[in-house]
Amino acid sequence: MIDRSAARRHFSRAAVTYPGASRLEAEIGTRLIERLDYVKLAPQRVLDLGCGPARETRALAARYAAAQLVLLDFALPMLRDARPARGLLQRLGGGRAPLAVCGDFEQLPFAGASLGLVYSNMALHWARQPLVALRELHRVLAVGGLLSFSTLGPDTLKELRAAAGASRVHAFHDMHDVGDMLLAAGFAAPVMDMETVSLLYADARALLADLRASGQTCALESRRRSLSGKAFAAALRAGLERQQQPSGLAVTFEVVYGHAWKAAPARTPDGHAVVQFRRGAAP
Amino acid sequence: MSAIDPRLLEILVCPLCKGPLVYRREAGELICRADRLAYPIKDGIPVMLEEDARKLPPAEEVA
Repeated sequence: MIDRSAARRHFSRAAVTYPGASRLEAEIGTRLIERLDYVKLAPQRVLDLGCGPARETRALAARYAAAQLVLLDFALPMLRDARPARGLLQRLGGGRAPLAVCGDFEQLPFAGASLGLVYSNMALHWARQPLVALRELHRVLAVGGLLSFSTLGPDTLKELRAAAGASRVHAFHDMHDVGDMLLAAGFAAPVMDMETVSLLYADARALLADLRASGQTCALESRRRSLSGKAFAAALRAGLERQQQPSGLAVTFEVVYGHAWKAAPARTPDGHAVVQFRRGAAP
Repeated sequence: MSAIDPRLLEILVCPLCKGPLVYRREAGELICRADRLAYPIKDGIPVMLEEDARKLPPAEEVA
């Protein structure tokens, strides 16, 4: 299981270096924003969940000009660094600066039904228990609201897993499992798909440096608390170098996309079914 | 600077019990009476995490 406090420390420490070391997240963010083209929505409030340096803030503000943007991340330094972008938006957007909140998506600090759209780029794989996070998202969305997200699937970093051993690398959920979790959390009409992205690194050192600079080092509860030691580091590098091609080290990321709606409840909280009656002739 | 945007107060609740919060402007804190926790506001950003919240001592009244 993921140690959220450790992950929070890693991301907080990496706030300055994160933007330069997260080209995958930047690219997938662009693709996730484009997917909103196919959705008709006029939300009052839009939440960017696990916003990091809030790179998509401008695109979201442009798309939902009438909406109030809310940014949430558990790493306070990331939100502080997102400030310049907020200032710029304020000048462009007539005072509707995004609102920043430091919080955890498994314990959201928002009132029920307070949001019309939750956008989350490459964040939900950091949940301790994804189902808990999805239940929280269902709670804070208003009826008719949409959750649109990207996350990582099981093939992600398989080269690293082969070199370091499965116990040293985070496990990621399969998109079918995520779809089942969306239904279990109460969401309606979930749509899932995935694509495999291969990033080319110069060598093992470059991959490990990027993971460190983006705060994405191991935060498993079962990780070794002491320094991993020179022997492990050498074995890890050797294991990665064995997979290296002349062009460099290709590293796999399985990107999972999902979206799901909060529908009107079919049953009231005390278990009565909701039946709609209409006056007048049949439609 | 620990003032908070009033538009945030409309939607923020305690992350633990989802109950209402009391905004203490002078202290720069958001307080949950039920859980007796004070969430700090840092540079205008509310930090809504239990691990960063101040536990209210039994004697401290929440107006």
